[in-house]
This record gives sequence, structure tokens and C-alpha cells, in this order.
Amino acid sequence: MIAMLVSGYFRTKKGKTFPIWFPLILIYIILLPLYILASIVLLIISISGTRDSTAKKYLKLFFALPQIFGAMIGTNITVENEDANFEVNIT
Amino acid sequence: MNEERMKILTMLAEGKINAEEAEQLLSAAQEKESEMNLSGSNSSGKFIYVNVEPKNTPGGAKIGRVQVKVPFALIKAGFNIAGLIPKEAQNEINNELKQQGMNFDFSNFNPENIQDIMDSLEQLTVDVDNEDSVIRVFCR
Repeated sequence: MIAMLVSGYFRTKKGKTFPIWFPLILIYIILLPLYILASIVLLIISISGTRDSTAKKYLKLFFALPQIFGAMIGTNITVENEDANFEVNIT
Repeated sequence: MNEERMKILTMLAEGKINAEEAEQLLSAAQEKESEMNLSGSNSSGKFIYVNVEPKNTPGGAKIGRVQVKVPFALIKAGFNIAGLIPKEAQNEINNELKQQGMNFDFSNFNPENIQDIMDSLEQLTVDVDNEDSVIRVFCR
């Protein structure tokens, strides 16, 4: 399961509240073509039989990055001071 | 040392594989361990909390209240991904860190060390009490 939503609010000193709501699927949609391209490159490298390719190592790192999106579920940041309050949740 | 690594080293000692093949097998075993650590990282369900509570001191600096809750799994994933950074890039990072005065070796991020770091972090508690605020870092 990966994080799907960044939500929260920004509240000013005067009591005006600005809700924050950002679906992470928009980022995933942007990243998807990159992953498709990377998969093709990885496939070509694998077929070519290159054993210790630097590109292969970087691609493995690239494919491990989405794990971050899964691991960040539950992150919460709250800042309160005299001028404004701010809260962000990742769910 | 785990069973798989031991097997590879035994094969090397017996001459069944050469040093290059052993190196490749050890790298593959390390990556496999990283992936296994990563997949099990969400199960812990623990969080690291960083709380900054201001003190109401007369004439003191006015600072805000800050609460940060970071999943343990995120830190673990970060460590695991750091372990997957290719050696050439690790050397570059190490050199840059050294230039900034931080003597830190990224190559120490292997699965065994990561587990030790995570176990230690679970016991972590930092309390800082100063004139303006109380800062607490803990895992729960």
C-alpha cells in the first residue's frame, strides 16, 4: 500500500483556514512513464548480458524509491505559533 | 553473518567459484536482504516523535509548538535505499560530506548494520530542556 493523499490545513492569526488537499496519484501519474522507460532499459541491459553495469545499479536504486511512498503513510507535521497554525498529514 | 553469505564464502574457499563470482553473489545476497528488510518495514507500526513545547517564560523568546511524527518504516526505507546507492556515488557523497566536516561512510549501510541502527533507534529518547522550550525525541 502506498500513500495516496497529503491533507492538512493552514490557519492564520485571524482565524481564516485554508485546507490543503493533494492527491499523490498526480505524482504517480507523472512518474509512471519514467518507470515504464526504466523497465525497458533494465530489460535491454538484462538481455544484453551486462553483468556489472553501473546503469543497472542506478536502475535498481530507482526502482527501490517507490518504497518511500509506502513507508511515509502516517507522517504528521504540526506547527503552532502566534501567527499561524499549520498541519500536514500523509495518508 | 547469515547462512547465505557463509555458503558463498565456503564455495569460494572450496574453489567452486572464483573471487569475482563470489563478489557478485554477495552483492546479490545483500540486495535480497535489503529488499526483505524493506518489505517487512511497514509491520513495525512505530513512529519517531519530535516535540518542541515552548515555555511560557516572561520576556523569553516566543517560539511555536512543533510536533513531528515520522513512521519508523520511512527511516528504515531511507537506510535501505542508502544501502542500494552504487559504490561510485557513495564515494562521491562521502567526499562531499568530508569536505563539509562530516566524516561519514555510506558504505557502512549494509543490512546487518541497518538492523542494529533500527534496534538502537527504538530505544532512543532525547530530552532537551532549555530556557525557551522543552524538546523531546522518542520512539513509540
